[in-house]
Amino acid sequence: MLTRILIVVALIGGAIGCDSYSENDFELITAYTAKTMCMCLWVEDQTEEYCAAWTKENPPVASYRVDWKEKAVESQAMMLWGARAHFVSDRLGCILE
Amino acid sequence: MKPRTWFLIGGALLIGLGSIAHEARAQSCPNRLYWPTEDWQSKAAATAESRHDAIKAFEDYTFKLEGKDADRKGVRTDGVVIVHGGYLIYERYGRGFTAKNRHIAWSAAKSFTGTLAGIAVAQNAVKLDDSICDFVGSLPDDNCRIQVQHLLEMGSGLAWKEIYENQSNQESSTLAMLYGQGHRDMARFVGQHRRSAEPGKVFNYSSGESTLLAAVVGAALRPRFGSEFAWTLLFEPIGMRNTAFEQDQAGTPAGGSFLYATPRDFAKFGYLWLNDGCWDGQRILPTGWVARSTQVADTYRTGQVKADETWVFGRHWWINRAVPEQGKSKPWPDLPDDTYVASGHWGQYVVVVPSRDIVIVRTGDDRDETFDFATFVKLALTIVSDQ
Repeated sequence: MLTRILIVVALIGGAIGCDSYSENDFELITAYTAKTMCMCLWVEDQTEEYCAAWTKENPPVASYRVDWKEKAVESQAMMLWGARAHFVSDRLGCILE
Repeated sequence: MKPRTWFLIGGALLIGLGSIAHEARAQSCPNRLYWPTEDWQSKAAATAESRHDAIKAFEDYTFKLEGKDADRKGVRTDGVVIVHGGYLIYERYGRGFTAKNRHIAWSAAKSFTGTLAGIAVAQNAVKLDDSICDFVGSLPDDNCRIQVQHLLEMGSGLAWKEIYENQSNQESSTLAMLYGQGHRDMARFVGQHRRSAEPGKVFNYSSGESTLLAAVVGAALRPRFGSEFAWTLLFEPIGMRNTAFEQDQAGTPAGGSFLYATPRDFAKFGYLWLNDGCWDGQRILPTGWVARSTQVADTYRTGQVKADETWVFGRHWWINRAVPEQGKSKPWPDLPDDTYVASGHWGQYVVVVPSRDIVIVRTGDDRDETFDFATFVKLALTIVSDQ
């Protein structure tokens, strides 16, 4: 439990003291997870098992949910941060919302 | 008229005719027995028989998986296609991929964007010395000094940090563009960066510059060819019909990373370049574009280049040339001088070696530094020849 708390503090703190870009790791990882799962499933036509393994980030803080009907993927981290990507077309692949 | 005058006129005519003939040759396209627009004709079975030992050595290196997949260790090849003399001579897939699965190109997409820039020039929609502000709006005035050719050479001077995972995420301009504050309008995000150098003075490899270049090309070609200009002008003519090229919410293609195709189709792209930008008698790229793009970029030769940059850049291709001005030797000394490659994150390659008449495509998922590009290409070349 202590390890998890330390990871969370470290990830949120990633943005503090840096004058570059504003997103913390949770925002970046959830966006990456949603977008990458989406393109893996519907552009590369891979299995969900393969895509989940391929997309997995370290530390694995983001969860995802696939909306098969809408061809979309939602990703969440710590119930505070989230992102969604959806499949557009065979030529234009996926887009991060 | 004096004999000397006749001599001079005759000489001038000969020089003129020679020049015209040379121009015609330069503009002519290579002849091939067939063009693989529909699909490649295969000589793989015959090659497997005649080059058994070379193929075994190649596969022992390329397809040898180590440990559990979840550990992400070692060489992790998803697909290889080798085309020699216009025929598919080798093809194999791994890790759940087949000939039908598209694979992400990551930064190998940059060479496609450079190709689309060449097509825009061929269509007289873009000139190399055009300001990027002629095509991309709402940029700081100071960045309007950046020209199209600066983007082709990664020499805009924009302060950009090309950092990927496992480093400081918050310092990464690339992650901010693809997944952070820049993802909705990537070109605008890139173009809003301050410049840390004059255009053409510093080589700084950047997914942002390829994205900005894609925005320039899109703005130039969309009015005449529509939003699917990349398919109309590049993918369809060479038979890459199943290619995906993702866009942001502003409609700009993600020119530095998000392009997907099958290895067979990636090989068609290499084959276009192998054939001097021609396809089935049609010139797709301007005369001289391939030659210029596979020479050392001016910015790389004369500008500031990081000391730890061991690969050498042309115009949106990596090339095997020494750069004495920078004290840099050939990046792959065991490979032919004319080798050039579109290279992407985690092991994506489209390799062209004109002197061997060969295109080598490799897709993969290398998460550590085990895979060695030069070793892979050298072993692939031995499938064609013992030399």
